Amino acid sequence: MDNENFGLAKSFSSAPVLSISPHTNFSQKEQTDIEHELNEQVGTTGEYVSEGFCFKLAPGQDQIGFMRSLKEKAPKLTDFAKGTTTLAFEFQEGVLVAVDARATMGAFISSNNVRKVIEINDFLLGTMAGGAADCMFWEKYVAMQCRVYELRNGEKPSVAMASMMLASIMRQYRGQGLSMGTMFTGSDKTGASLYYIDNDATRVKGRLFAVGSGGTFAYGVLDTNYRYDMSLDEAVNLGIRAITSATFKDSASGGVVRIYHVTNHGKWNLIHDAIDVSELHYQFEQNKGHTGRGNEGKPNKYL
Amino acid sequence: MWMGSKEHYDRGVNTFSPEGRIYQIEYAIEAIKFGSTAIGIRTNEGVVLGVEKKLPSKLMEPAKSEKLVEIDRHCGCAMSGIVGDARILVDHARVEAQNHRFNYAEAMSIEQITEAVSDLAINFGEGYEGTKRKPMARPYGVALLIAGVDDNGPQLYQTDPSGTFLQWQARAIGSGGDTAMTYIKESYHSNMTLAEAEKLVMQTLKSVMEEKIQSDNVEISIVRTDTKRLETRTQEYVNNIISTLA
Amino acid sequence: MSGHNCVAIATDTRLSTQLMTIDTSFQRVFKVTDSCLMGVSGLGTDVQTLQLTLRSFYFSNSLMKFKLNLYRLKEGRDMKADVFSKLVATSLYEHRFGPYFVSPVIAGLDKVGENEYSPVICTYDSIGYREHNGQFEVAGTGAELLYGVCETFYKPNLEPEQLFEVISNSLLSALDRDSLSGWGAKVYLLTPTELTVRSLKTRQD
Repeated sequence: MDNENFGLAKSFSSAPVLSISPHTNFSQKEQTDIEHELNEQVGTTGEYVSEGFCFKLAPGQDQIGFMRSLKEKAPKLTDFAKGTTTLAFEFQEGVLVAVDARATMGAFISSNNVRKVIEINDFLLGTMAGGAADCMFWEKYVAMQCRVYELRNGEKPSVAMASMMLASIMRQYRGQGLSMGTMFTGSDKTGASLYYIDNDATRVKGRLFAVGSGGTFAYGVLDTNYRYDMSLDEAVNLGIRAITSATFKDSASGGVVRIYHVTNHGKWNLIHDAIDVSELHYQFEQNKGHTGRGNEGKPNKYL
Repeated sequence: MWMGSKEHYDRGVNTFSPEGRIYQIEYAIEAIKFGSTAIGIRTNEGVVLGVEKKLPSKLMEPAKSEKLVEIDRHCGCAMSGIVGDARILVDHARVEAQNHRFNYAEAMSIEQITEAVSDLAINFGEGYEGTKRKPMARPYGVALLIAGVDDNGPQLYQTDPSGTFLQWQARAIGSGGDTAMTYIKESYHSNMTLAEAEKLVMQTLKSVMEEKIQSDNVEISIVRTDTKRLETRTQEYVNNIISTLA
Repeated sequence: MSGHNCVAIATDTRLSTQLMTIDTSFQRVFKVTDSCLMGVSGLGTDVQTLQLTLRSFYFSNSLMKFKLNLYRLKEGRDMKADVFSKLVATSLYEHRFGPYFVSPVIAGLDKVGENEYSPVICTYDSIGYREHNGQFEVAGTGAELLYGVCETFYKPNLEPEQLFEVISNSLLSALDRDSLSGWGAKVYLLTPTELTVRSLKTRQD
């Protein structure tokens, strides 16, 4: 075999040096060829080789069937971290990204302090919703490809190009169980821009997105108060407000708010690293003259 | 069969001569001697790389960073020989260096980068039955000076077409390589400052270059021990050094 | 949770359908008699069903109220907490083939001597299996999370105020790790002479 196995998700050392675009392998082949190749690979090496990566496969022929039965028999193994509120919107001073920080496994809160904004590199940010590992791995992979691009061409890739790399990967692995819903944002020569990319290989450029189980609640606040000509302060406050509302209604979101600002000048800034949403909730409610306990207008009845 | 003449053994890259030589590799090493001069000097404060950029015609635009390139932000590379071959090796090194960062979230050591380059350099020949990827059919006709700073401090390596790589305190390759080595040997000492090393590189280049040394036909880069970052020196900076040369 | 001549029930006040919070001041604990409290947890729409059922336990001519009244008329005395806890078990089993999806908790005090009261603490599964060890019982979505912290903080024969501290901290700790619970909490502290209800300030996410 000409493909070396280092026991890591590595080995594009053996891939053609000039292939950056990860969608070359699949798109040019007939479906039957792919299946044939897949079976052949499984049968002989137990690895799924694509774009130079070696992913270990389960022993057996039907990989997707295997994952499905695994899901039934051992739900805890395959239920990766889910449940999130992340939002991002473009405004006159760039893109604002706001996220919560909760990770749940079923009802269990595995953490209230997750970093759901992935600092891909000094000009790109990606948010994390769906499988934490899928988001992290592929966004870091894009970071690497961006760096290689920069070394080869002497300039940074555009956000459009970087986001396309991620979308192409998602298309390549479509239907294989990846879980990712990310807002991909960054700043290049043309200023800041914002894309939504998910595991169906959707790639949409847009002004305003909210992703995750709490996304619908965030949209409520966002759509009501959003203006393109907001100042940075207004945008930050709107982000905080939307995340706080969503974490209140959605039990799978919570913890702290983190706010990032992608400027129009090729870099991003961390604005707020961790504001406790619970404190914010009480603060907002008390500003309205409420207690924050949600018992306004109800009789004070204990029994 | 007529034996004994080297002509019959220098056709294939997979055949030893009876004296135990693979001529194509040796010819490839010869190719480097036609290349422009490249110099690297290691000091405790960092490493310096300097190259001569040959301008065959006045009409040619002086290209930027053609022979002195970045592999990763802590590692640079100077080359001498067939630049096209070098680009394949450098690209490989870049991919390996980024891949290392991806998997281990740390910078790749200079030795490992050099080793990755040498692995590819020696991986030439006819390829194997049934493999899709065709390797380089001949040896890469280029030598590289790979310099950088990692956890083991500032380091300078040289690779050649045989896949050999050696570590140096100071090294010169290319057409003026041998002369330059003699020159450097006289002036080099292990406690040199980075500025002294930069000057020595320029002084050496000046003495081996056929053309007059100018800010547009030489280039230097450094990697400082404290910052571990590759910096390319500006033309003004180079001019300043040139003006102080003997 | 039981103490010396006292028992307590701590509960959160959230009502939800799956992930979405519906109500943040929901009542889950009810007084059965002067010496017995009943708290019930369940999930989603079943909580709403349960709410109606529970309200009727106390206010209307429900099965439990009917049974309590009938007992009082027959025997001429209030039902003891221990007796009530067994009655709940049999009543839940009446719905063996169509159970309420609930897990109740009962906390009560039964007089056993002059100034000496025996705590009754028990919990059930949805079809009436009664579980009790005399120390503490947990139920609901955060039950697993409560075990560890309760086992750590609980000591036998705590005085009422100490019991309040222990049960409150145990609940708050579990609320921090259970995404489906929280949004306010109440602690019901029952002594032979009085019932105290306190609200706890909790996280709101």
